[in-house]
Amino acid sequence: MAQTMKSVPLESQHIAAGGKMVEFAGYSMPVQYTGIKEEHHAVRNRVGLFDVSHMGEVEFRGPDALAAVDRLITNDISNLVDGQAMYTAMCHENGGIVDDLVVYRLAQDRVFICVNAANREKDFEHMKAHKMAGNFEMLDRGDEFAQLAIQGPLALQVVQAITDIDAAAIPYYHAKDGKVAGIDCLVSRTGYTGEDGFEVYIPVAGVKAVFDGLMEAGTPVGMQLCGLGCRDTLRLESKFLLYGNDMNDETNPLEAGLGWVTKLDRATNFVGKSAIQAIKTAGVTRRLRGLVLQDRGVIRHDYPIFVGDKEAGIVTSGGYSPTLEQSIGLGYIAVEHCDAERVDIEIRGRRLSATTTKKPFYKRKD
Amino acid sequence: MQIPADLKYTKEHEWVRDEGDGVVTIGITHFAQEALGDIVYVELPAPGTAVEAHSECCVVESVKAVSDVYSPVTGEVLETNDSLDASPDLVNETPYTDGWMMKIKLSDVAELDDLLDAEGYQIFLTP
Repeated sequence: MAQTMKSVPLESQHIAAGGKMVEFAGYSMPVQYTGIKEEHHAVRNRVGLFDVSHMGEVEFRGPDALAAVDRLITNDISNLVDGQAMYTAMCHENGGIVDDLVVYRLAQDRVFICVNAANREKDFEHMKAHKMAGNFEMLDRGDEFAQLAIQGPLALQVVQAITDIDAAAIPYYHAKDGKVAGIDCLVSRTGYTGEDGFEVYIPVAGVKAVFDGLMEAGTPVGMQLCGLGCRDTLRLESKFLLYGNDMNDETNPLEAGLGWVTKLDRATNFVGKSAIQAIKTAGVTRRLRGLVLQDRGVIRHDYPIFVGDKEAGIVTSGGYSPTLEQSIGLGYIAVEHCDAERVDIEIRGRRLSATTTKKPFYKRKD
Repeated sequence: MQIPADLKYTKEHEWVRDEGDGVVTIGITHFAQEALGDIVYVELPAPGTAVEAHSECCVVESVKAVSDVYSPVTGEVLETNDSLDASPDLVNETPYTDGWMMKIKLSDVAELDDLLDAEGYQIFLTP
């Protein structure tokens, strides 16, 4: 495994900073530095710096770029203005989810897409297989970019200190080209933590300069290096889905709670549209719900969910919430039971009580 | 890496303190707690439970994952550390003292001779 693992450009910096490296999606990545709880609270209360260079990037370029992407995704790209981003699913013909994506309209003829690391090859193959005829090109740019995420209430202050653009003027889910630590980057006001923050796409050759600049600006305000461990606890508290856990090729966007990014009433015949329309008409068979464990313990991926004596579902993400100081999770529950306020989750042969929720477990106060 | 000289160890990263009279206290080592990361729940057996050497005797949940703890010895659980219920992080902070997990009445005192001493555990940990 060690021989085939890919490394991110900042690997030696992570190791020097005490990062515990683990394999994730084929990359050697830091899972934590000083501890997941400490890193988690740093993002909620101050600011954290994540290396997410394993994420993939695909670009569509040309006069038909927007139309080409529109045909591949569930959300409606036509409402975006230049510099605006959008969360979406991308589906198979049968409605199963290929991946979840953040799509940026950079210009009328340029669409930039951030894809999950584990799905890079699969997504590109899917896009190729379902490519419409038209005047555009499709580029896998995943190896050209590193990506750093600066997340937390002080993220704006840290990023602003080393960029020549007005970072505060970038609205949520918008992005702007600008110099960061002297390097030409795409600065995006997005994230996977539930806090204000930025994700900066950086040409690989410039990532060390940007990292050093961020460390210099962030260290005095208590910025913490953060690993994938707290990225998971932070996203789970905010009820952001994780591909591979909460959705996969066999789940459809309606049951996954992604109806809000599935625009069936638009003219575009996007890949998966008719299958999803049919699922909508027939009704979904299960729904994703939030779970809050009321007993002591920790719920984990794949634990069965019971309503009364009936096995009614399965946990797809579970863990410990450092903010709530109790265990939370997400799971699919059969539609006839999905409005149950209380369920039981089986943990090593014992049934423990959990409440269900449709809301995020954590929402920041603005 | 803390490896107190007066304790015995297993290759599964548990420590054992001989309390005399055929009773031992057990817990997990500094190395183990560091590898697990932030511990958020320890599921301990009820006093009176029979435990067997090299078999699961309790479960430690960290933020990252769930892990089994193996009993270093065979015997009966006499007492468990109730303070871990409210403060599981004691296992991270003081694994050899306040982070102890349970006291066990040994079935066979001679089993202690099978355990590693501090030097043996140190050598085992050396890559």
